[in-house]
Amino acid sequence: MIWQFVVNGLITGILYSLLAIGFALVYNTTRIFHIAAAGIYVFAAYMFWFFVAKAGLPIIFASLVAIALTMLLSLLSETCVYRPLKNKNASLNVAMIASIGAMTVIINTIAMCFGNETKVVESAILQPLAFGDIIVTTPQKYQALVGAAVLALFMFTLQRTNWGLRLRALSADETLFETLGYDTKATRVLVFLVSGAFIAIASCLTVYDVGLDPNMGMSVLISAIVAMIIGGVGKFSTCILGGLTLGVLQSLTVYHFASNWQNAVTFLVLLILLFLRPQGIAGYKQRTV
Amino acid sequence: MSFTNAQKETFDLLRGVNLDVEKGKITALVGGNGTGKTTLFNIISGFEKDYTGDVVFEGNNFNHIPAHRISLMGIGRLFQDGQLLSGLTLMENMKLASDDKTGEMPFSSLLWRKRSKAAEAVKEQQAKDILVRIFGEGNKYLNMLNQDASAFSYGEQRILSLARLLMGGDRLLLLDEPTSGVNPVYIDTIEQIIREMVVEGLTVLLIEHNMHFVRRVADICAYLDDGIIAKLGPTAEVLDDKNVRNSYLGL
Repeated sequence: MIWQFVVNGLITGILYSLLAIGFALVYNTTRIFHIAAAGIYVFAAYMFWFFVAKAGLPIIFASLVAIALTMLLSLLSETCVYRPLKNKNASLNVAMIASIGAMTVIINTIAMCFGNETKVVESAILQPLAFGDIIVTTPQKYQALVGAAVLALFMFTLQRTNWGLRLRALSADETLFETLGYDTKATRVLVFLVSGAFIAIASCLTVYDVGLDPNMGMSVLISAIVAMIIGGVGKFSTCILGGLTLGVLQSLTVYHFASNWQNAVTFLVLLILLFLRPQGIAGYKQRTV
Repeated sequence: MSFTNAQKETFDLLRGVNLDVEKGKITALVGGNGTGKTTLFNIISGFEKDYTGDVVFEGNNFNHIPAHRISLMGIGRLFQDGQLLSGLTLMENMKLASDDKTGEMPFSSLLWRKRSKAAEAVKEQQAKDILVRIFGEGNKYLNMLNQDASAFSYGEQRILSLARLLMGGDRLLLLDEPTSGVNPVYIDTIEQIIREMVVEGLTVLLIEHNMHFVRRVADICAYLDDGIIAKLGPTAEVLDDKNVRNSYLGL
């Protein structure tokens, strides 16, 4: 029985990892606390729902359209909010407040257009897969396979391509990055596009299983931010470790206690973990020079 | 150029700096703290936009060009506090500085695998050649190419940051206090690297507070005081000047 919860936790962890990477891409490279990601996540969910339930597109096409539109919205947050503020030398706190404003506008616009009630993408009961005592539902199967494939592709890109190297360099030092001849502005455009893709993939995979409402973004984003922090801030790969840890921890809390204790126990454990390792599980203490 | 502080008081920082940097020579820029030496570097390398006047390099006007384009046009810079990029290995740090930017697009490594691999191999060899030239055959850094930058001490990061500048195909290097905070052993190595840069045909403009070092390496010295180049000439002549000694060295 416990293994069922571990598997559920790992699959949830994959979804947290995807959203954590979407957030970390912006946070690590620009240092902006990208709260608008919660609104972008909700936008992706509603686009996915709209193209499946209203436009009648097959799920795969609907998700691709939703991802493309979400990437554009993510880019808009850079071009219309963050970049003008950066050009005016606004502080990162100002950028964060603007980000909260952008999130509020996106979520309220969605609520006005589509209503506040919970919606489901697909209501048909699909045949689950059984591996002995462990049952994996059809949405979970897609979450695990698509999520793991996207994470693997991202890790490959990050470690083995020049673009990945550029991304890590921009995360380390923006000024030095520019001095070495790289266009920060152009790289940020790509960062926001890829961030939007990760947020959209996490959102589509999640709402396909649990449905959607306009206020779901913030709680998921908080979990993703926690995943990023416990994994180790500053790196991208640690989001996966943090996401999986958080997912399993939450799932085991449900197993040992009850679902309404999930957040309390999880955050207590995380608090203790951060007291012991403030740099996160896989983070490292920077050498003081 | 001027700046305004939190009390809304405006100060002239640089007012009519006129400095010709001679090609193939080492020019030292000296002056007291807060006289605008680093600001002048920021103007040349494109990080400071709010100024009047002209920055001319090899006949081209560099006014208000973005920093990355100035770098691509042949001006490299060592920052006062900027070291190696942490989270990247020594080899990645070196390769990133290469003027060959092949494979910059996200999936070019997959689409043009052969070309990307060949370009990577050239960069790796170039990095190794530079380390051999500076630190000798079989030096320890050749075995530390895959170590994260944070594994190196401050002094090592400083000399490796200087070595990295040789990757970029630059023609003018702006070095902001290269010897600051490093021990005497590394200072000798830094001197050796700067000399190597000049042998390779580079022009060096350096900010330095270590006057013994300036005397040893610089061909020409410019003394920045009160927003202007107050004295320019052969290093010994400038540093032995009575006014410079009085106002800057306090002797």
